[in-house]
Formats: sequence, structure tokens, C-alpha cells
Amino acid sequence: MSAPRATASATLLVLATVTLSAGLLSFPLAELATGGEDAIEITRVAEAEYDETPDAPVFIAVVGTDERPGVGGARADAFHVLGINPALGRGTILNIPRDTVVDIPGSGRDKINTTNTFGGAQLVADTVRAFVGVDVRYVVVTNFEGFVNLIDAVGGVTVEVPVPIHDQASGADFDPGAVHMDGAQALSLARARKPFANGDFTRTAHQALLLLSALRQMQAQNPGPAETLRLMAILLTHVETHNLGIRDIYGLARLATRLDPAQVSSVTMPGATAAEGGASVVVPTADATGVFTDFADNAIVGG
Amino acid sequence: MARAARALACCPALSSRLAALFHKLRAADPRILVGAAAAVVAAGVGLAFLAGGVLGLRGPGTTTTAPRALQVVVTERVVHSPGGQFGELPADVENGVVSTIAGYVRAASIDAVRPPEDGEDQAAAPPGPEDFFTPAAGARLAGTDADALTDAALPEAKAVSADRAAVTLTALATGSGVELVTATLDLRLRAVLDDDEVIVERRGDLVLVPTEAGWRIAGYHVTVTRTLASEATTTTADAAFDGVGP
Repeated sequence: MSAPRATASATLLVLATVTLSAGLLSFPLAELATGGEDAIEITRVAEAEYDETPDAPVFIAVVGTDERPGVGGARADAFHVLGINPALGRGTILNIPRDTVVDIPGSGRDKINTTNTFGGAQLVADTVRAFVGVDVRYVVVTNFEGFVNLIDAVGGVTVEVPVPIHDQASGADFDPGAVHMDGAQALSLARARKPFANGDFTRTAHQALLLLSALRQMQAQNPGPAETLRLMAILLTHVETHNLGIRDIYGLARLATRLDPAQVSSVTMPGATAAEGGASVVVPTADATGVFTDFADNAIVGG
Repeated sequence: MARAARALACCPALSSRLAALFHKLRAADPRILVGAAAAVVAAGVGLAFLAGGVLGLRGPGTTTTAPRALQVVVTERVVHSPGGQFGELPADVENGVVSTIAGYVRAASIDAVRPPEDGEDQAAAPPGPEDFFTPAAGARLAGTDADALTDAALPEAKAVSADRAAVTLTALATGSGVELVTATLDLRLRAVLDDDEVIVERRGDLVLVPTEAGWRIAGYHVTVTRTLASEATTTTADAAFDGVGP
């Protein structure tokens, strides 16, 4: 990692804030060493009817896939919807467990983690609109390698680990407290599921924790407009954009700088595990309706 | 005048001194009285400025030595691009950006406080500051950000000069060329009033985007400090608007 990259932790993360949580994986850490393309994509969804007023809430779907070199058919193993209310300077990360079954427009009932595979960013947005009731303007998709590279590019991220996490499968090995993680470590945190009784729910909450940690780190550096341009240049070396201009990216970055991490809550979709079609799935419970309604109203869940 | 009164009310000690002076002169030569009244008004104007600066008063027209051809110095140029392969800032971009910034400074801080020059065509109004902004950003000039972005609320000045007008330009370039420029502004103006002098220091970042009409200011993070020389008193105002993006 070059020096400029190492010091770039700020705004890159902004955009990337969105990208970060996506680090999911179900792959051996040995594969971290493999080569391959950076795979972070940000797509501005083309056909949604947005409220274009400057202070209108913005919704961004963040999807982490298990794609890796040589293996196609990427599923979404991390699925979050970030809602930002610019007027209030507040936001919510809505965490949706990957095994949640939903009605996928045009495809029938299936796990939400299949949407990116079947229809890419557009289907992700369409599914979120049908399931949660919000118009997703941007979809960020990253695979495991893109996630690791991005974390490393910004010099790592400091996470306040809430509980002991020791998981051979993911490689996570953390005691509670502040831990500065490189990309591989952050990935292991994002993947760790087995140590927890409600594994998928805890994992998705930890992914949101990574997002918030990145945002907090970025905020602490308080990048100004000029610094934002520098970090955007770094980001754009790692990211492929679709239907998205420089001004959109700048706007997203500045939007993130206005967000106080203390005003961004992490909310996991109320749900329960169930068996459906012989598979273990997650279904939303009755409480989910209220959460979705709140979220769609102004991107804030609760008070 | 209401604003001037409020300004005087904000500074009771000085207000009472001026009132005492006025009372002492009431029986004196009317010309002196007029002079004293003028002094009170002038003090009110100054105080109103100190109290926040939004004052619609103008002094008598006087000869103005405004720097019509403001020179904005570029102290540094930085170009960022993915992969770092873009090279130097193109001259046409620099010229366009500097021209816009100079136009904005001239409109917001010089033309805004000077009286018309002799022989100046009143029908041909010079560009206003909003002409150098995108519509979304320009609309904010009429609102709460006006005090930070323009000096139109200052009393009319006899002369305005620029002690310093410098920018550092930072650009983001892609394969499509330069798409965004931030200009880190360091501006120091001196406005000579009838009986005082105001130093205006405006610093911060302007964010410029290319438009069909040329480079325009789409966003800003600006702080202005105004110091009245005789009182060594300072007021500040700041404003921020990203103005670019979703």
C-alpha cells in the first residue's frame, strides 16, 4: 500500500462506507492471496422515480457477494439498505439477513441473496422496493476481494468489538475492545457466524458495525472538499461505476461527511428462522412491518 | 435605521457617549449639530456592521477606486485522477476557474459596496454574484448564506482594494477531462468607509463544476471575518453547501 493510500482513510470510506459492510464471505482466508479484479461496483439505478429535492432521504443498497476468482454465480451474503436523511443529519442501516425469503419481482419467492445473481443492481433495487418500500437510488456491490482491498487502501478500520469473537471458519479472532483491522481481519469479522446462536442475525449486525466504524473514522478526519477529491481518485481506482457521474460520487461523499455516526443507527430486520422448501430461511416477523414503514417514511427507524 | 438602532442598543456604553456628545452640541452652531448627527449615524452604521452586517444604508457617493481588474493568484495546482495519470491542470480549465472566481469576488465584494463610477452606464448592470454560481447554489445567496458569501450588507465604501486574492486549485480528472475543481480561497479586502476601514478576510473552499456557460460555483465551505479597524472588533459568518451530487 502506498503512502497516499495509507493516509487516505477519510472520504474514500465515505463512499465506501457504503461499500464496506459488504464484506461477507464464506471463503477460506487463503484465498485472500489470490489475484483478480477489484470488484466493487456502484450503480445508479436508472428507472426509479426519485424525489430529487436536495434534502430528500437517499436509500442505498449495499450488497456483499461471495464471488471470488474462478467462481461465478455470486450470491449476496451481506445485504443492507442504508437510509440517509440529509435534512436531519441522521440515518439508519437496515440489516437484512441473507437468508430472508422475499418475493423477487419476476422471479417468484426466493432468498434475497439471489437477487444480485439473477438480475444485478436493478433487481436488487426492485426487490428492496417491493419488500421494504423504499426507492433505492444506488446499489453498491462488492465481492470479497474488493472489500479487502478497499479496507487496506484506506489504512484499515478501527472497530469496537462488542463481544469475544473466535471463529476458525472465518478466521475471526478478536477480544472485546477497540481493534484496528486490516482488510483481511475486517473480512473475518464480517464473515463470522458460527460462534453465535443466532448467527445470521449477529453477523449482519457486525457488518453494520463495520460500516459505522468506517463512517466514524472518516468523520474524525473531517475531510474538506479538496481532500474529498483526492480520496475520490483513490476510490475510483478500485470501483467500477454504472450510470453514475463524478458529481454523484462527490455528492455521496459529502453527504457521508455530514452524517454524525452517533446519529446513524443499526437496525436488524425483525425476523425468525424457519424451514421452507427444505431450506433454512429467515422470515420477517410482524414487527418488521413497522420498521419498514418508519424507514420508508424518513430513513429513521424509531424516534 | 432600525438596524442601526439595534446596533447602538447592543453597545450601550458607546451609545450613551454619542448621545452625550449630541446633547452638548444641541445649542451650538447648526452646522456642528449636523456634523454631530452625521457622526452618530456613521457610528450607527459601523456598529450595525459589527452587530451582524446586514445594513441597507449607503453613505454619500464618493470617488471609488475599486479594482475592476481583480488579479487572482493561483498559488498551487493539484490534479487527482484515478491511477494518477492525468498530468497537469489544463490552462483552459485554470483560466476558466480563475475567471469565475475573480468575477464572483468582484461582484460580491467590490461592486456590491462601491457607488457607481462617473459615467458608468447604469442600464448596463454588472454581473451579480449569482451569475457565477449554479442555479441551486446561487439561490442561496438570497438566503441565510448571503452574509458569508457577499459583502453587500457593508456600508458603501469610498475605495476597495485587494490585499490578497489567492487560490489553491485542486482538480479531479477522469478520462473525460477535469470534472470537478475545488478552489481553496484566501482573500483579504480592504474597504475604506467614510470614517473607518473594514478588513474582510474570506477563506474556505469553493467547488466548481463545468457548465455550458463555463465554470460555475456549485458548492462552498466559506468563513468570512470582518474587522472594523477603529474598534478592532471582528464579526464572522460561515456557510457550507455541497451542492453537487444526488
